[in-house]
Amino acid sequence: MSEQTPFINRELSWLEFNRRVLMEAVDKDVPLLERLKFLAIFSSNLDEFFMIRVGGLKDQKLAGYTKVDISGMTPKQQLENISERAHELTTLRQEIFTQVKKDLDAEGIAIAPEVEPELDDITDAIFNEEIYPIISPVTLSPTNPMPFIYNFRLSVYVVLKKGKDLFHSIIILPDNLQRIFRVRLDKTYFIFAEDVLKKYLYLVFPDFEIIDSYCLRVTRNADLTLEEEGAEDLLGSIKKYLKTRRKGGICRLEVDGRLPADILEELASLMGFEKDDVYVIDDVIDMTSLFAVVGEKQELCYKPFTPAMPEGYSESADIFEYIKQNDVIMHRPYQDFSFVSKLVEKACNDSSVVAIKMTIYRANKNSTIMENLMKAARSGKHVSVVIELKARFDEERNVDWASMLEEAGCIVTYGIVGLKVHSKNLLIVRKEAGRIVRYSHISTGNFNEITANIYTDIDYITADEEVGKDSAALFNFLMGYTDIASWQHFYLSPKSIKGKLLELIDEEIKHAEKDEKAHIIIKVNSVMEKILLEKAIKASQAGVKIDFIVRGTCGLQPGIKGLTENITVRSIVGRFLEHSRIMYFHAGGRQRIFLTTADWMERNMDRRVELLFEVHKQHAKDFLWNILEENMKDNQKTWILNGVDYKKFKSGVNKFSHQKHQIDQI
Amino acid sequence: MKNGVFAAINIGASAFRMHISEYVNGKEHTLEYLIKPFRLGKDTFTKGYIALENVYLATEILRKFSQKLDEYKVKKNYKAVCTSGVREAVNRAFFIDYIRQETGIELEIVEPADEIYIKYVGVKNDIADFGRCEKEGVLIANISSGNVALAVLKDDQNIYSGALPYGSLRLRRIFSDIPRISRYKAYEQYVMKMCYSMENSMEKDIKLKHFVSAGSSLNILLSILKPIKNELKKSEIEDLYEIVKQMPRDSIMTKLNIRKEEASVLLPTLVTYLKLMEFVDTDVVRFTRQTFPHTLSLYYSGSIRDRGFAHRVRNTIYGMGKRFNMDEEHARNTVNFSMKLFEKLRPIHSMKRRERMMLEAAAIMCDVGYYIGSRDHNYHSYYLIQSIEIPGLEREFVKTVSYLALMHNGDVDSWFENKYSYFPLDRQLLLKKLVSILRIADAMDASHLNLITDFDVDILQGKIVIRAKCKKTPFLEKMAFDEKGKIFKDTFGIPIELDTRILYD
Repeated sequence: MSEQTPFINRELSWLEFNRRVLMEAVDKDVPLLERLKFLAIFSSNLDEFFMIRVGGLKDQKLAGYTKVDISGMTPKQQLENISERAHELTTLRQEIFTQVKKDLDAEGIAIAPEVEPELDDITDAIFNEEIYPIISPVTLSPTNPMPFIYNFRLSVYVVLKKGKDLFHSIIILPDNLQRIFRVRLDKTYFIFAEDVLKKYLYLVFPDFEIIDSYCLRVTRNADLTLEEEGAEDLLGSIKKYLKTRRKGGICRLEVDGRLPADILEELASLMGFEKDDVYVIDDVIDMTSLFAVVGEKQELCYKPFTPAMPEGYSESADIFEYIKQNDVIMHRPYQDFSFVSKLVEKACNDSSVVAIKMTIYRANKNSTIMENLMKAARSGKHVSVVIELKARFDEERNVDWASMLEEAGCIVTYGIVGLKVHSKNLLIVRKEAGRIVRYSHISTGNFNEITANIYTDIDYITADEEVGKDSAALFNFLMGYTDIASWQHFYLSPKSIKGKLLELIDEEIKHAEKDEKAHIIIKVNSVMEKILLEKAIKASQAGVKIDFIVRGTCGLQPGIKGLTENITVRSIVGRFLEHSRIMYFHAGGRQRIFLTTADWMERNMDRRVELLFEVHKQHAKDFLWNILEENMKDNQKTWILNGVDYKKFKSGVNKFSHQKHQIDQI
Repeated sequence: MKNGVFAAINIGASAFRMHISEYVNGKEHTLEYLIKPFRLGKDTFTKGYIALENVYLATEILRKFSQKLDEYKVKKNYKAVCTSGVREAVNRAFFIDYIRQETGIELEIVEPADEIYIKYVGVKNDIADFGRCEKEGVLIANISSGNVALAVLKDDQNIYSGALPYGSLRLRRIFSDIPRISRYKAYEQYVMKMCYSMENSMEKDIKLKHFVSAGSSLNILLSILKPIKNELKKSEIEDLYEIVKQMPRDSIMTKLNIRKEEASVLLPTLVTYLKLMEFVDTDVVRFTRQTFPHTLSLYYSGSIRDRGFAHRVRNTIYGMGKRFNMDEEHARNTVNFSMKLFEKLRPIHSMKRRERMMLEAAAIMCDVGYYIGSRDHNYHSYYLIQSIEIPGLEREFVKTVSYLALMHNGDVDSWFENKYSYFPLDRQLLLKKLVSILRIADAMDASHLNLITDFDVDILQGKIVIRAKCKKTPFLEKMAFDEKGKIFKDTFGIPIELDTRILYD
């Protein structure tokens, strides 16, 4: 990372974020199985990072692209730096896993143990019934070339001997093979399929001597750009895209450290990877599988809690009347997302409801919200859904949802060609006493009942007529009913969010220049958009105090004299994934607070439909201000960016954890 | 409008628009406004028809609008109208039928006179002190993509109205082959021709004071000039014109941050505004921000009314009569007599206000044919009336008035027995009722000497007697009454007599 520039490379900043996630696995205040979960999250994050970001950079490098990024690095330089950092992190993960595994063993949970003789009967059964019938070894020869190994597919490479001749065989573990088998004896064993397979290789190759066997796993490039020709073709393109994703080039090979160098070299030429792409793993390859273990013992997990319903709301209340009385603001997961599910359910079954409209970016499997929408459509209600087919990793599920919703009679549209619809909106149109009343739900989070328990997000629900008008116009725009729309309370990407933010920062600059108080707090997931960052630097130089609370990547080094000395950057990584996006501007004492779905990233500002919404109701402003204040006060889960490095800020006195405090408040 | 939701759709030459309103206790409140830019008029103005692929594209847009009608359950509570983009296409019937089949939306073509009238009513209800403007002289211009609809009002009279084919998109198409740097000159010449055409249709020396604008073109100017008040200054428009008059379209887009479609028609729009401001001799154009579909919604839902409509129509018709040198005194006598007869004979004719207005218009205009020649003047009156367009008066009304003028003289029976025997019976009856009264009223001043000053009507058992007070013995009137009154008996089944009493001799 260059110290000459105030900017930080996006990928390296992201790796720093993932390091913060990994470090949760060593935090003694985190319950043991949750620490294991952080290892799984770290691994899953890293998988995605390689597949998308490293894959993309590799494409750029191969294409001879030499343009430098915000921090002045070429793709080649970025890849070199990433490789160095990712190798360090992989080694660190290994060390942490070894410790966590040891600690869990002491608690009676054995992960990937040596397959001991007392387990023989069980492993026999696993091999004979689960593994053997579905594996297809390929022994390499001129007539049997190296098979194509799909992305993230675990394989076992076997070296065999017959007479004087050596043979090499590869067994790709099928997708439908159960990876982990839980065995409860005196302790609970989590036995991995590859370990069982390795034990019984003599049965797979009865005429051969097994010299050795090694696990390996490839990560392939999935950074493919979609051709967007038109809404009708979009569905087809996505399906085609999903097929091609499995066939990208290799950007990482995770392999057993015992694999001899000559075999590795041979594999490199057969499979097409480079030396830097090789990551040696001495224990479990693919730690995302550890998610299967994390629920094993409740006492080793975070203490469960029951989220609260919004203040003053009771099950027997009329939900619409309740919303009309005062705008509802909720903080997930401390407050119950089921309030939103209930609202949708009620709307779907309410004869006064004229129409229901919703954007879907990521919906969970078995979503009651989606089920209710389909039910409502089947019963003749006007239900419209704008579904984003390009939501990364949810494409397949969203294609399925789209088909099911259409089948049920919903009007399904796929947003605007060229732009991902990331804005999260729900609109319920109801006829009350002969009048149209619109209930608008604006959120920073997805309509996903599973992630609602893991991600922090803000839900804002209002029956305000003007906001309802904006919501209706937004849906008309997204559904192609209108090409020109104007909003009173909404600012939308790609056109107006950036402009509005620049205007708001400029206003702070003006106040600072008059020696008036000027303060900005930006709580988002990522900060990387150059124009905004440059404006932030300008603001800092003018004396505006800017506090960034950025969970993930941040492209700005704070505290550089003359440049960013009035800027602070902090990141909270804890039990819940910080996902709410709130922006505060002092605005000469008017204290303007906004909710948004947009990060300070080029993609959010220019290539997505995102929403920025100013909150006017005082109770809601106070609510959001309190969250920001607590974020700033946190001294247990906060990392402070200093130059290019994050340092954990863990105080021994006056301990305050924002997330814990929110739970305690319930 | 009773409480509920009403939707208005406008198929314009450059965009499709939909306005959804909710009416609660007489108050309108906009629920949604949709715009889909689509240059349907491009085909119409260049080829004369809407190409099939554009029919399909239009269908797709209207399918979405139809979903909106479903959403608000207003499939029976909407009005969808087409203006010049469809109106002037030779395959308009196919277009309308195809849209109906595919989307269920029933499109109607709005005639130019109706279009300008609806816009006029919108302006009148939206601009404060518009009444004063109408008195002092105002030009209302609706500058849209296809046409420029113009209405000139002064002293509560409609001096001029018409939809002329000078819309901005049309101009852009007409002069697309002219090199860009000199295209503005072509626009100027062409728009000046429009002003001449308007001027020639009006009385000389009419002085106007106000210029009020509406129409889709206005939005472009608003987005560029961003006026706070509802008015634009000539100097601002001139400055803008100087900047863009030779500028390439892409530069206009970038410089002014407007869409491609807007940049294409900006220049003809500016020329039209400037020339019309010159015509009125004003430095300010006032405008309404109300869109056409919004006005449509208000108008068809009955939320806005044309107060003073009857008064203005009456004045306008008198104004027209004067242009044809009518005998104003005779016209006023005929009007007075026919109106009094209408009121007195209410127990037998059961006609309403609209019919009364037809009768009044016919009474004013029936003799305008003398302007052409006294022989068969009723024929001349008939076609002169057929050619007039009065905003707000539907064609059917004007036609009826022309029939009444035709039949107010001569052998009325032969019209019903021959030429108009195909008319439905109810229409024949209406004409007979009205013409029966008109002929009597006209007969009562047959000499044009104003001899009958007043009268009373007695509906007796078996006959109706008109007891008239006269200045002198009205020989001609009596003779004419006998001849013209025959149809009265055939129509109402009761004879009518004229009993005259001389006040002095």
